[in-house]
Amino acid sequence: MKNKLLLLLLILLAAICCYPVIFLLTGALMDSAELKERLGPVLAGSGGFVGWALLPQYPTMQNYVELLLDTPEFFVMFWNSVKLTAGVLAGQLLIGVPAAWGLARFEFPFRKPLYTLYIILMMMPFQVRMLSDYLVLDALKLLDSHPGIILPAVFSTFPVFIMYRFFRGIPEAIIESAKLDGAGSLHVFWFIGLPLGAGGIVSALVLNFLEYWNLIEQPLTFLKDKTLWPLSLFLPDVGLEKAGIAFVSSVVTLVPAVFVFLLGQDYLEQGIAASAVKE
Amino acid sequence: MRRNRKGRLAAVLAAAVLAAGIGGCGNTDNTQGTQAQSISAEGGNAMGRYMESEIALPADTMRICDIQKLADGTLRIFAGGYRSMIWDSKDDGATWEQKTIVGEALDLDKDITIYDARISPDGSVFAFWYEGGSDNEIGTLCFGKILPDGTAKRVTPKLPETESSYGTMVGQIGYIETGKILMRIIGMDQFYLLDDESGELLDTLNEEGAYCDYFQTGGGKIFIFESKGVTILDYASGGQSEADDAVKETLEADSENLSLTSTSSFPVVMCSGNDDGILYFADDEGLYRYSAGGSVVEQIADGKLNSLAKPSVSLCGMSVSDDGSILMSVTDEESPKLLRFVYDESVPSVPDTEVKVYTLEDNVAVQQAISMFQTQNPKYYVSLETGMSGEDPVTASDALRTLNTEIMAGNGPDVLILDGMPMESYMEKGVLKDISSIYNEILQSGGLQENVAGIYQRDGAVYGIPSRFKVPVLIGDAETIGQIEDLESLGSTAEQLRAQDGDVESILHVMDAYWLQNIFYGAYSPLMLAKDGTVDSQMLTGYMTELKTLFDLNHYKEEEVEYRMMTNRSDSYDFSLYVSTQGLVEKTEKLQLMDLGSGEGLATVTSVCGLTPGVDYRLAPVGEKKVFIPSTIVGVSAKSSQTEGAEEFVKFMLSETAQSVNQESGFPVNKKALDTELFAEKLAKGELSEDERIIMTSGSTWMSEDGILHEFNFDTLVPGQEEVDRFKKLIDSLDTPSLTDAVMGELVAEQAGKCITGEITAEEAVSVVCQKMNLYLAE
Amino acid sequence: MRGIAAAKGRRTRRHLAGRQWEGLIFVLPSLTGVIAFILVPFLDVIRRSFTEVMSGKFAGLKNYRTIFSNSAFLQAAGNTVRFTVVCIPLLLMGSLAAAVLLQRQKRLGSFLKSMYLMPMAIPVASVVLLWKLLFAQGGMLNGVLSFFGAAPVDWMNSDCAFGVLVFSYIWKNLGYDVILWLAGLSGIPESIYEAARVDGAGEWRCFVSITIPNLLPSLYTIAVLSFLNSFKVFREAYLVAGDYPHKSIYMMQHLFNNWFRELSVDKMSAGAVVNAAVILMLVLLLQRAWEKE
Repeated sequence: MKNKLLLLLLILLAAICCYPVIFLLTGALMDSAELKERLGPVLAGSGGFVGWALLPQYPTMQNYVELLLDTPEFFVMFWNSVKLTAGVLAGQLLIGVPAAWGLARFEFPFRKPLYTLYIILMMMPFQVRMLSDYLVLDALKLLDSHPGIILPAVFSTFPVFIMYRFFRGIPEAIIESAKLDGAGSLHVFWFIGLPLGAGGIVSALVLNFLEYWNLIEQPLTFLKDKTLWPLSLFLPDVGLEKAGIAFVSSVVTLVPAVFVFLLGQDYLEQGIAASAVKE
Repeated sequence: MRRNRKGRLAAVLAAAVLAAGIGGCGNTDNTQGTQAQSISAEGGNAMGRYMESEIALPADTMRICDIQKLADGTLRIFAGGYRSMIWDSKDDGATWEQKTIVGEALDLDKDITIYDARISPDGSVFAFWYEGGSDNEIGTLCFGKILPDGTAKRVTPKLPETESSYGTMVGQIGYIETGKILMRIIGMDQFYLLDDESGELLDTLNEEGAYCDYFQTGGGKIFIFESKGVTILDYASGGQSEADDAVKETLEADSENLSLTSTSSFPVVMCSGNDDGILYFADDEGLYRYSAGGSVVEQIADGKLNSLAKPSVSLCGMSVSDDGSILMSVTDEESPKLLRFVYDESVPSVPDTEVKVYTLEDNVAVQQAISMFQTQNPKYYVSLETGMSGEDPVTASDALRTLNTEIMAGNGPDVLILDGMPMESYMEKGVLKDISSIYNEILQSGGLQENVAGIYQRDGAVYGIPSRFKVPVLIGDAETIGQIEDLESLGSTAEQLRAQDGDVESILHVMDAYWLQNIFYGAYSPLMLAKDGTVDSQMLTGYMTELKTLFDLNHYKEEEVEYRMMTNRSDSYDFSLYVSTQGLVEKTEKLQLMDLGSGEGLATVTSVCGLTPGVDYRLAPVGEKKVFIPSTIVGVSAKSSQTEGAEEFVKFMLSETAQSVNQESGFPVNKKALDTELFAEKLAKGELSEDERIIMTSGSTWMSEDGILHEFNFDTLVPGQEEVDRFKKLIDSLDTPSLTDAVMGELVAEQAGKCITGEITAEEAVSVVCQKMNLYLAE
Repeated sequence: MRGIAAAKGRRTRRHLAGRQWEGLIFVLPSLTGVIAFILVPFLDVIRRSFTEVMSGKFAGLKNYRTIFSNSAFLQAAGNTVRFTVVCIPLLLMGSLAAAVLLQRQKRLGSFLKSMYLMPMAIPVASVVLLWKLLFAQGGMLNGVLSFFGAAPVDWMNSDCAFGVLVFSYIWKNLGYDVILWLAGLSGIPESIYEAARVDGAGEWRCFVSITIPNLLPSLYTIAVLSFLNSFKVFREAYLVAGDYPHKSIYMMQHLFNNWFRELSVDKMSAGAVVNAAVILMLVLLLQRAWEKE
């Protein structure tokens, strides 16, 4: 009995988590008249309350058509997002993985303080660095360009932090035996570290995918040219006329994220399980 | 197991990279072949630029229908209007010789006006007019041709029958080549090509029919403009031309090019070049040249460096000389002008000194001043950056942050138009340069309306000078408004008026909720902050309550209610300058609060008062304060590296020349310009006749619910000397500026809008405003 | 024998000593980038906290003195601390509880897990849209309330706004933390539990004495990640309520944002340094707590 109750609780929790997604999906299928009627109380200040139904009264693909076929900017922004995110993730792989390995498996002087520094720098909110970042990018002539967003993001210390723990969790024994067999550092890294730490690497990638897929502040500040803007800046102030578009673009932005998340979920868990072993 | 994991990882990454790659290729953005390549080299020392000069026109020229440079070098113009004439100049415009008085040559009745005319390359002129018309009918269409030797004859057109009930009316005419005139008849979708002497129908073009706003001809082609795009016809074959996509895209890139907004000017004008297939055209962005079938349109002159980009300029026609110089007929503020563009190799293509001007919102006065300044000072290139262009949902806050980043990085503007910006904060932090030297200079040379222009003086230093201002006034029954002292009494008086007269449509004229709170904010914002700088919540509560009361006292028709409840404006047009003449004259409204910003506005108000006995106006009742709204406040950035250019520009903005052009941003502060704006010249002529006094006539007709046709006509007359003097005294008494900070303005506007429409109560609105403002002020 | 072992040992040690520096080589590319793009701007911020805005003149501790007497700063700081102190424990405990419960559910477990991850995947702007529809005066929550006869609450413009923010944070991050806890839990061998149960330990005893101690390494990671995510709440708050939200959700980042708009870069930098210093202390504390384990 208690089990059933607890199960119910968990299911309720899941429903609360998922409800917004359903909300977006149904909203995307409603035509503008219905949206106006339902959302009026909030978006236009008319009296009453917003009501919602599980299914639209008159489902229509009108919004999808309008967005996917009539709004070319949407596609440009979509590919911008893809370009930015892919660029950042690739860069983080190249730069962050070796860094995490180095910090985790080698005992050189200043290692500890360096790692602490990495954590601190991870915590800096954007508003604070905004001006200084701008000046650095300006000096490097990277303003108003995609590399200007990708490059600083590549050097983010967040993935290093995540992967550090995974690499730490690899048993020393395996490494030792490899070294005794005569393997060089690079060899150890490539053939042992990477495969064993794959869980951590994927975790970092998945988490960062979300972060950069939804990036708002940097593009808004550093990209003046609208044709370079990513998808996250597309959703305009929702007015009644645009409500349908807002819902559909939400759905379209949502799908890749969910896809990546689901793909990476297994890795996330496996990887963390491995690092749960005490240092 | 390991391989699987790696495999999946690789697959995901590969997919992502592949997607990115395809995305990069399949870009829908083709900016390559479409945009006109401009000659102006960036950063190079390229020399050569088309320099503009003006050709003086014969006196009393009302309107130029066409210009043409003839083969022998004569410059011929057709001056249309009441007494149409053909003028010739053999010395490129230095002197004009009257060639033909058209009415006489064609033997027309004295009261006939030539509608429009065109000059063919050989010098003959084709004109049309209407005869035998009356109030309801326009009359019969008549054509005439004036031959190069001066003789004239009527031409009888052989046009197909038209179904229009108004008779045949011509939309536009244009010469394709000597002897062949193209015309569009209103209502018909085809174009008729006629022989200009016999009137014979030579060809009917564009048989499929397409609605068109206007057309232009040049380079062997006919360009048909309408809202969906540009159609290009080849007039040799009469069919569509396929090879000219480059021109099509350049023309269509600016959607303003596609619609006609005036009957006497065009967004784009064209003419043929000296060689076959060469086309020249112009729009507000510049002059262009194109070779038929080519892939590139060349921009030969940047509109921003001459009069083409000037908001007050509209294009009428152009012609190219043998020597390559280009002549354009334009109207500038309703007066005709003839401009000549000549290529000068000794001038750098782009001025080497750039002065950057920044404004938060679109400001036409600034655009106008920039255009005039650059024409006079070719060594400066003035670029304009607008923070909130109105297209994207950028808030004032976002725009200011971007501006600040630029300023701090050293890329900031040189001249700041401070409307909407936190002036106090900027002054404290030393963002602005002290421009008291400019202020004093202009004070001495032309004089300034000191109580307005000097309002931001601090300890002898001047950091910002309002270059324009508006005056909020209250219009209504003289006795009633005389007794209103402040906002509270305005509200209670309004309630009394409603109690006395339950039927009248409106007590205080209201356009919509946004408009209402905007006007009142302009007048009453100075009261919103207490002496210590915090928000005066009591005053605000009164403010919100009165706004709602005034809004609710009016009777709105059911279909209007939604419109009236609008709480924000998507367009940037400033309706605060609007006078509701009909409401006041016909007494369907009792009071109106509005902003006076031009001589015409003042004239409208005085005309209303003159027409309706008992009605008068006064400064907005703000207790003891006499409030004005400063506008287009100019300032120079302390971090500017172009101080000389910046100061030159600021000086220019305050000079009589720039200030004499009124673009609806308010009264000028330059004393001389202000006097001119207030009819000094007209009044100096002494007694004016009835006709001379009329500035503008307006009227409207509508059908009321009971099927009766109503009409309302109103003449705006020049005010009398005493009226002007009275207003000048009012201006001299102004002492309090309205608050210009956009952050506060937006905050109050949002809550006021909600309060007026009843979404929240006044108390709630005030508490939200106070809470937010207090945070703002505490920072 | 000993000789060979000793020789081997010496060789290994020398090997080890040389090898350690190789670690630095692995880190170098990252380090260069970090210095250029993250450290240098941060040092610039520190520099600005000691100077005046436009002139760049040295101003000593003036900016610091200013901000500590600035009521907006104190309000924002208080809110930020309050938020962190309330949210993080709530989230950690809630997600742990859910994880423990979830672990038992063999059938639905993995399906439910995926559901919990949804909130994180939803783009920020959509979340904002939903917020507006749920929590506005005429929003859905108030609709439900009025259906049950209760009075509508002004969610966003009263102290309830804080609650809304907390709810939003937990809603978004719950799933993610649950996954992390689950992973940590699955690393604890079942055998330990069996042994304990054989000894007669009850549910709660198992939890306290076995589960929690074994989860401590995960706790560190999860705590840091949750702390990091607490900063991201600013985005939603800003998009819904603008520059000046209700004072209960007025956070440090709002303040920095506004200071920058007013060109008060000096105050902003000083505030940022203070912010960073506090975080540094927290991180050091956490690290020390972990070392002790």
